[in-house]
Amino acid sequence: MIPVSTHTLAEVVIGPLQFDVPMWLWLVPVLGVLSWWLSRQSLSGLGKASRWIALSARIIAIAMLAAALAEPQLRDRSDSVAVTAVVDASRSIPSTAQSRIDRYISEAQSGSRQPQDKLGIVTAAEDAYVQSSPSTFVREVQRQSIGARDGTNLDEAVRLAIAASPDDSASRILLISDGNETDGSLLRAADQAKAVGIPIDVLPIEFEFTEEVIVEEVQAPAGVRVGETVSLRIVLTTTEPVIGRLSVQQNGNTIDLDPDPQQTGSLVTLDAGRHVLSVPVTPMRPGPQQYDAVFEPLATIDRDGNPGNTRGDSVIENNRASAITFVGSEGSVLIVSETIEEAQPLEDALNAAEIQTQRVTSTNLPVTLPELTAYEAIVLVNQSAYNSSAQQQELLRQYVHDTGGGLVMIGGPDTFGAGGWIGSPLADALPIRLDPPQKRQMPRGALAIIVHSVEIPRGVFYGKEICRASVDALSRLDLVGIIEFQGFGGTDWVYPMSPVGDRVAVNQAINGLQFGDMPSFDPSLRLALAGLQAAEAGQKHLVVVSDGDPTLTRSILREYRQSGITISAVGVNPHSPSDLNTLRVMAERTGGTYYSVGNNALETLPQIFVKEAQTLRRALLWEGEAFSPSMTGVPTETMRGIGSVPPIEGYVVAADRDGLSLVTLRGKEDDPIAAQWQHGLGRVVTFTSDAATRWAGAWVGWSGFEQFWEQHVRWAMRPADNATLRIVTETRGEQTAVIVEAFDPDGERLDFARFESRVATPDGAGQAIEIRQVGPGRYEGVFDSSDAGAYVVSMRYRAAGEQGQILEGSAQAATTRPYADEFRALKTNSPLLRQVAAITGGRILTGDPTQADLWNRAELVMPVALTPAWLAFLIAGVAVFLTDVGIRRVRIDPRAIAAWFHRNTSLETRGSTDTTDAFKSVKGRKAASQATIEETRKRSAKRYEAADDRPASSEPVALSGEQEAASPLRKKDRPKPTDDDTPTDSLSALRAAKRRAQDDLEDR
Amino acid sequence: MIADVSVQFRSRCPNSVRSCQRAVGIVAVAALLLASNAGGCGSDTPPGFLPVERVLGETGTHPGQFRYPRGMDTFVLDGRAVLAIVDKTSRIQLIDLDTGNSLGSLRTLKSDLGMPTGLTVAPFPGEPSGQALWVADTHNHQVIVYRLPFDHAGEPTAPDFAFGEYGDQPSQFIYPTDIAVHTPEVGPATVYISEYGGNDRINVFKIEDRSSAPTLIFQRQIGLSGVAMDAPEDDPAALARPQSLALRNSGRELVVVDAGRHRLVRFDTATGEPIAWTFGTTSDAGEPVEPMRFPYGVTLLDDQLALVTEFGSSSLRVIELDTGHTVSTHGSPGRLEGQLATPWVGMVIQDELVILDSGNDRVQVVDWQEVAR
Repeated sequence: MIPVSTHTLAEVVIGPLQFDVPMWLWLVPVLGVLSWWLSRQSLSGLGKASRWIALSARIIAIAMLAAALAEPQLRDRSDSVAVTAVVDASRSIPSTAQSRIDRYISEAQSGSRQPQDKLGIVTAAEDAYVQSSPSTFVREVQRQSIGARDGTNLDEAVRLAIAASPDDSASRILLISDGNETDGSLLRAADQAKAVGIPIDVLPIEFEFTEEVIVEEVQAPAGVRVGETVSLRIVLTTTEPVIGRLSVQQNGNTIDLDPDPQQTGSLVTLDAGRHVLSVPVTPMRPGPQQYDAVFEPLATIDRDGNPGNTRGDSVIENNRASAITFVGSEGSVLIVSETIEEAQPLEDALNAAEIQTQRVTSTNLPVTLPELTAYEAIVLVNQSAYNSSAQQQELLRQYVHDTGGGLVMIGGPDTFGAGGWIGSPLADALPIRLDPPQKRQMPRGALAIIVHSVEIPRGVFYGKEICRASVDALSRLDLVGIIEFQGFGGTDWVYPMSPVGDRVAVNQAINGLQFGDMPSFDPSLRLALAGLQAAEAGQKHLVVVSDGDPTLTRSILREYRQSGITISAVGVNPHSPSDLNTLRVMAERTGGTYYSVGNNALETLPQIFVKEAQTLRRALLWEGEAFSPSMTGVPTETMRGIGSVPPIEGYVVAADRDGLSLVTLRGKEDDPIAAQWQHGLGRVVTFTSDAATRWAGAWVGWSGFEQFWEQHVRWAMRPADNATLRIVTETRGEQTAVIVEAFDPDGERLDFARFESRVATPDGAGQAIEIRQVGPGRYEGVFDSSDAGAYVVSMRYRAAGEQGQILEGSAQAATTRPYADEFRALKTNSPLLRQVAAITGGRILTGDPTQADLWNRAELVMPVALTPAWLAFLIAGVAVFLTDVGIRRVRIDPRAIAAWFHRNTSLETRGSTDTTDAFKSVKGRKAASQATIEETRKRSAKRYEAADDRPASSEPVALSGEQEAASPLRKKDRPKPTDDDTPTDSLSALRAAKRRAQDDLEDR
Repeated sequence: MIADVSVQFRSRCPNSVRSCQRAVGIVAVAALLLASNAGGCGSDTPPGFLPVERVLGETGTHPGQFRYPRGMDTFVLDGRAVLAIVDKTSRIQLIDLDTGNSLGSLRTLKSDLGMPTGLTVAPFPGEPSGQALWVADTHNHQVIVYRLPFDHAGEPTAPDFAFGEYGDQPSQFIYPTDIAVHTPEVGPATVYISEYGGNDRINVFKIEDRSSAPTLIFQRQIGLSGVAMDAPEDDPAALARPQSLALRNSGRELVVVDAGRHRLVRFDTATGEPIAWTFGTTSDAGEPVEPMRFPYGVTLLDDQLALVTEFGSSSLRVIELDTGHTVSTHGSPGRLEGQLATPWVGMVIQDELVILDSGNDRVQVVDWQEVAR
């Protein structure tokens, strides 16, 4: 069935009225004629004048009702124009140009801007930000936060400007840019602007770098052997002949390329054009090696071959490029442990099995992915989440998932769920769930959080991060509550004390947090105290984060101590030592911990809360009489040849992944002790007891100790190669190609290999790469590499050898994009800007602000506000209809009117007399009760809540001092432009209201 | 005439038709009444909303815009009432009360530790006829003074006079919040400065003009360093964040809003002893009233009535100082015009109630006559 719309006609505009369903207006002529025809009979009894008046009224009534049905709207047309300036603030725009842009906008307003016109500012760099919403107040450029400037996303900025355009004004966008974009598509944004009728005027920022040197890239083989000499290929482009010095660094150490003992860089002379320079290097140690090439231009060269007066370069950011090559070695394992004792037995066992190890504490854990990939596996021994930043945790996850590294996580009292890893990026990579099992009845903790972040830079952001980190670190059984000083001045739970559960509800509450300007800790502390006292939990804890300046009544802390509730206080950006003192007292008097965090360490805040939440998680530790974990009998490489295991005395309680991983050893109530799985390209093993004497003393002396750990660690390590891969990466615009040449052990090209490959990207997201065979033994894949930073490619392969044997292994390669494409542009992209103006109907402006006419109204569609008017038409129609009835039915009698008027005038006179009497009566009563009122005032004064025991109450000045002349200047005795010093009328009214209230009281 | 009309209806229509016509008449009259109401007859102000005459400012950092304004006072410039307003960008703007236009602005020199929160217009130290703006530079532990008027364009500006240093000793400050100045016809002026952060008290100074450089000489402390410093909670002089001051009875009485303890306290300036205090829990009629919640601002309507601005309940109330009774309350929390969000101060200027609606980044100018009714 075809739907039929009642809106069969477009709207009709008549003067200030718009009819959305004008078809109903056809009723006017149709029913008008019908009324006239009927009136010849029905109105025949009336006089001629009355008949015509009645007929007219009837037709008008019909017209009003028809108009009401036609959905009339009153049109209110706006005449203001809003201009939103999109200002390119990326690094390709010189700082001198930025100040010219600001001056242009300030001066352009003296032209066509009307008082009601608006101006808004949006900046475009890597991200777009609204600096000022369109407003009549805005008259200049004020930059608040621009963000990273290593890119230009004009697309996002224009879309933001469209979104910021007010509904009550016609809008224009002024785009001030060089037109060189590194992300998004300005043309797509222009299409959107056209669709919503917003023209984009463009002011091109003209520039052209006539003298420029760009180091395009450094090419190095993906993998080499120790001691093998390889050639770095450095690709440069110059616009003018130039002489300069080329230097190369290996892992930050400069390689000496110049025989001159005073210099390390090589002097190079280049003609205009593209050049490829070769530099031989010999890596002498295993692991990833990063090579940086830097070209430092010294001078241009004129036609005679003599040095010129200029350097030949305009942008220095694009004079550097890098490459990473992997130097092969025997696989080694990185052990991360805070103490030697916890790691020594394991390290000895692995060394005895000829696995190379290196032991570090968490502070020395590598902070880049290429550094991590130097290891075949990483073993975390009793590591708390607090020991590593969220970024490092994410790197570890990428190391496993995207680069194929192995991870072995070994227990202890400070790790797994008891170590704050619940909710961490790494938790998803583990073969066990860190929350306790559903079936386990365990003591739980209760955590309340009070965040006062109003004085902290980006306070709302960090406040939410803190709450999320805390909640994520708790188990689902724990109780959590969040208290907020809200926007209208009240203090309340935004998430009442209740179980964490699936975290959906609590995260919704966190998203809505605003964090008002808290004047006093007291209401929040009392609320938290009541909530924690009522909570059924073994351990109760409150965390307060603040700058410390709200007022604190210290007696509250006694109640906390008496209730056994601890408070940890985090001081952020305190204004004075006094603030620190308030927070320190709060922690010291309740047995909590005090933390001080400066503005430069705000990112550590969530980690502090992870540690705080960790104090509640001791319940996840099982410690008791020794028992031997039961073997599940699952046939795995890790448990091969092991028939039984010695007893343990403790472990961290965790839960299965419901069949998604393999559990090889189980503890009490079937808790997983040893588990393993494949995660992305890598493998992960967890062992929730320890590998030392705290819980596994019997294991250290067990004959199978070495075999157990060798098999588990070897399983997790990257597989050794039994084929040869040569990997080369090649930059192709915003993409990078991975080219693989594969050979079997006999040196023959290896065909039909299956690759599983991922690239770890600078933003941490990672992406899969599809690698296909493109020739005999040759494979190729492509990935997006538009962001600046390091890209680490990892792949596992599997193929059939000549004799039918299975060949498998893994390999890595890396490439870098040292600087953003922002710095590759050599001149203004004027064609793009002209195209944008043409698409949207905008103008191309010159640099003269007096000619800009930014608020030009030509061809703008001014917005119209519509107000429904059907009710007015309906009422008017009914009124006219009643008039029609009146004309036909009512005969006006002048004598009756006169008599009625006479009667009512007499009544009014009587009423007036009565009112006067009543007023006099009231005045009489008020006069009679004046003494009583005064007495009441005195009694009221006594009810004033003064301390009875204060001497002041008996002093001469006492409660109501005598009235005196006003002082020469009294604070907040407001000056006035008139001679009248006090708002007498209003105060009289207030006092009258007060007297009435007293009279009422007296009457009662 | 009405009677005559009904007679004619009754004489010519049968009963059923008459009742139908009566119904039509009732509907029509009801509709006309509805229309007259919709058309604006009666009050335009919804219940709970203040009758706003105009709104000054909006969120932002451009001239005339505010970002969490926290201090306000007024003075007269060329016959016009002008507001001085400081916001959380450490910007002090002079705003035309009639138009909302910015007439000049400056930034305080120090703002890395925090921003000022209190402003008072009073004579320049040592110059009874010279108008000046006293600024409680709260987070820099000092009071600074700028001569009025100024026409700076928002640049950081050194004060014309500054005093105070960090500390908890007499005459030192932690977080000054407000200033009141009493200038008698004869003799030196007295300066009262409230503060919190541990020193929850009022410091009293005399201005002495010594060899052309005015000097503030410490006189005494009013109030105990409150409950935040373990003072007994039942001591009436134990203050917790005294946020605003006003002088009464020719400077013989100091009215203080004690925000942390949600009360208004009157002190004898001669002795420094408290006279009385109120939580405002009783109305004139003896009815219970909601207590004050974080009163942040106090200004005097006259020597009997104080206008208290409540940060915690987003409203204002008038308190009769002699009785401590709440005479009236005004405003409700919200974001709409006529509603308030954590206001810091309100004052009556030229029959208009001017409210610094801090949480909404604006100033609301309200018809005080209608409010008083």
